[in-house]
Amino acid sequence: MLSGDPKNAICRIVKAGIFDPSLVYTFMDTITEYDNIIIANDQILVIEDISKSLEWSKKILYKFLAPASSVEILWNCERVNINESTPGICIDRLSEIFDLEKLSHGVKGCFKGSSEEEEIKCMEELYLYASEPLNLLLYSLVFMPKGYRELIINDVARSLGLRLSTSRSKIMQLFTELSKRYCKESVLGKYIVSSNGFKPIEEIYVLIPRGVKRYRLKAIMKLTNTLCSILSCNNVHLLISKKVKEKSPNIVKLCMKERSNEKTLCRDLEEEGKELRDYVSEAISRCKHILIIIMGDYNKQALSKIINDYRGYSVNILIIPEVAYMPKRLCEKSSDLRGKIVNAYGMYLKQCLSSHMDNHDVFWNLLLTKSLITNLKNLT
Amino acid sequence: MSINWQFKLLYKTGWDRSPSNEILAIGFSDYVNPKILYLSRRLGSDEKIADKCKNLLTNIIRLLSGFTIEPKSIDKLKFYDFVRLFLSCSFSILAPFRYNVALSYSKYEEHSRADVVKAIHARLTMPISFIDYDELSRDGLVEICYDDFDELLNFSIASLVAGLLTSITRHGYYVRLITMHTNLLLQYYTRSKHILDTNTLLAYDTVHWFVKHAHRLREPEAAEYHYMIYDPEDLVNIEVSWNELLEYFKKFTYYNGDLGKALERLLEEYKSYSNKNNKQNVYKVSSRFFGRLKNIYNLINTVVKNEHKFDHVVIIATEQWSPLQALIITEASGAKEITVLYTQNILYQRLYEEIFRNTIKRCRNNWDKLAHIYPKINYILVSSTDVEYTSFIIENIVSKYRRDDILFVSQGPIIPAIKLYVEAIKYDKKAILS
Repeated sequence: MLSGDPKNAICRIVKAGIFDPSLVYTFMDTITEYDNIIIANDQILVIEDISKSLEWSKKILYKFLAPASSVEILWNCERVNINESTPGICIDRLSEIFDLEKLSHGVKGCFKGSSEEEEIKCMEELYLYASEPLNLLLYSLVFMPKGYRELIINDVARSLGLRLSTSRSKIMQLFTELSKRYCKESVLGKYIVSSNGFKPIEEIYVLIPRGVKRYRLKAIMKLTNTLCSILSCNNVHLLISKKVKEKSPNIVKLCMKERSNEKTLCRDLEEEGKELRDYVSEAISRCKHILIIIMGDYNKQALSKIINDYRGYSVNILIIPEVAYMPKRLCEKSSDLRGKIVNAYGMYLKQCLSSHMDNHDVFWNLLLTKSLITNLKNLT
Repeated sequence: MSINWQFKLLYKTGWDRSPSNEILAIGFSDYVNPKILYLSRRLGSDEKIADKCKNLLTNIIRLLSGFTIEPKSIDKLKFYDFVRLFLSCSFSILAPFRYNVALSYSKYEEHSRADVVKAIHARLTMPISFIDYDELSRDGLVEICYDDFDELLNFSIASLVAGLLTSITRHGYYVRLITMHTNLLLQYYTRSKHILDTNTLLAYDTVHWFVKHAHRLREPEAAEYHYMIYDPEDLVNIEVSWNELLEYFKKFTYYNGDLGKALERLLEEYKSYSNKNNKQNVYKVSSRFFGRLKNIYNLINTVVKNEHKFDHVVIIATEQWSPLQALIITEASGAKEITVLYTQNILYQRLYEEIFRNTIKRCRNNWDKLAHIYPKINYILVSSTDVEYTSFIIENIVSKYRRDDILFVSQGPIIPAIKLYVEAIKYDKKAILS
């Protein structure tokens, strides 16, 4: 039975989509999505709302996913009785032990302490602004023993400069703090950065990362075109280094084939006998405002030279990650709150941003929640 | 089925050494199927082997389960509890290791005894393999006889077991690498012949089993390797023998002073050889395993060269973050304290280093030198994609330490790496972006 003072020590997380932190590069989908996680005195109870008869299979999945997990799962069998398919604990059979109404619906949310709808909105904001710490905390709640979970909680608290009281549940304090920081206003209301601030960009240099083949190259081209359109710049150079060619020997040909127009130039750095800094140097000498776009990753020593040599110049560096966790509602324009609320969106965020190609402000602001922009002019 | 035994942990019973003396053993039959983890029936038996090597078994379960299990009172477990525990670790996709559990056939004289029936039920209902004693009696590449292990050797063996059983993923490759790095560090400080063997085995298995297994993967399973600076698939056609690798690792024991310097000198030495005696191949292998660490050591040395040493280093952890990297940074920079910014995919490395640090603290008397020079480490969680969250943290850290004698080392995930570098040079602090 859950112990402790329910007023202080019980809270509920809804729609917890959890990603495996160690398989970031391989597997982009959530590994579990729990409808309700109840935290009581730092112990965990999962309550699953069964909406379809096939959900009995989740029970087996959960067991295989985390055979070591001590998390107990109760099944809300209002619609379908899981016992008909597989042995499971339906909560209506346990109503004498738990105050079920209170446990699954009446318990305050872990983030804002408010209604389910508000909690979901806050979760969405957290998946937008602090998705990785949120994911690691949720992962540690369900899959890790107490000692390791505490290490993670302390790391996150230290990161945010927080001192957590030992007299209250540390994880609950942390969730409350995260919501205070990141659930202040609606996601769309926060769109305050205008792409006009970055104009005029006259030349764009896109650094093709190692390992790129046709699928990713297409995504890079498409995203670059949209950025050109937003920033009103048509002078685009796709830079392909020797190391990129080593992994994908036909990348230059592919680039030529996939480019959308003749103004987009595919530059073979080895053939031209140049480095990134040579292009930047030439552009600077022509007094151009330039944007360097890094897709995924790039040689950091080359970037270090650019940053040091062109401090004080009008050089912007935009870094776009290949994959990020984003609220589903923002990326798929869905208003349905019943299903899962978060997804991992790949192809340099194109999978999320493609539905906003026609709305440049939304596109730009959404991009900048997960992409870093640095202006070397501010580094004097 | 013919099994190539790679590692055997043996239990000494007087002077007798029969095949049943294994506590556990690891082997494989081919490059396609999962490895085999043999468990002895002595675990959980009346002889209470688990009682004697409980710290070793605790570490093995921790590392194999990807820190999803923290075993307590492991010495109280029965044999089939151990079997289920090791099976459980092998199922978890969260800690994606890949092996089958194997037991030896055994005869029961009295079939109606309750404990025998229970054991038979467990045998029949679990996906375990059976091997006979003839199979088990083949020698392993490395055999270590259990005899009052010290904690560092326990940690080294647990690292070896976890390393050998990693799955063919990017995560699995880096777990191998950090266990190899850690065993090199332990070898250097303990000069233990056993740890020299464990290190050679990890390197040998990575070239001869992991790489060949990984090479069988098709797109998109292999796609995650394409982004790695040192793609393990590049090693697939490189042949190195056991003795060549053993000789390479043995050479570390001839050096004194900085381990980073020893790494550099050995890599340089092997690089200079012609390929007639195959040492070029050893260089190709070792540069993939240790090249990154050598680069970090050299880069920090270049910054330190004309200056006094630093008190503190702030670094971003990569998948190669390990106790060895921490030590090399301390050697090169002089810093006694390291603040490590890590992202969620470095969780395994972060917890592994903590377990290592606690281990050397516990056995401080015996390994005083290592415990004395090992730095103090603080961890900070950043994000590789949440720009607002990461910027807030990095701006605060750089601002907090702006008056200190501090070095910033930016590497790994590019968003935090660029942010940290830019913030550091904004305050005119010494910074490396690599």
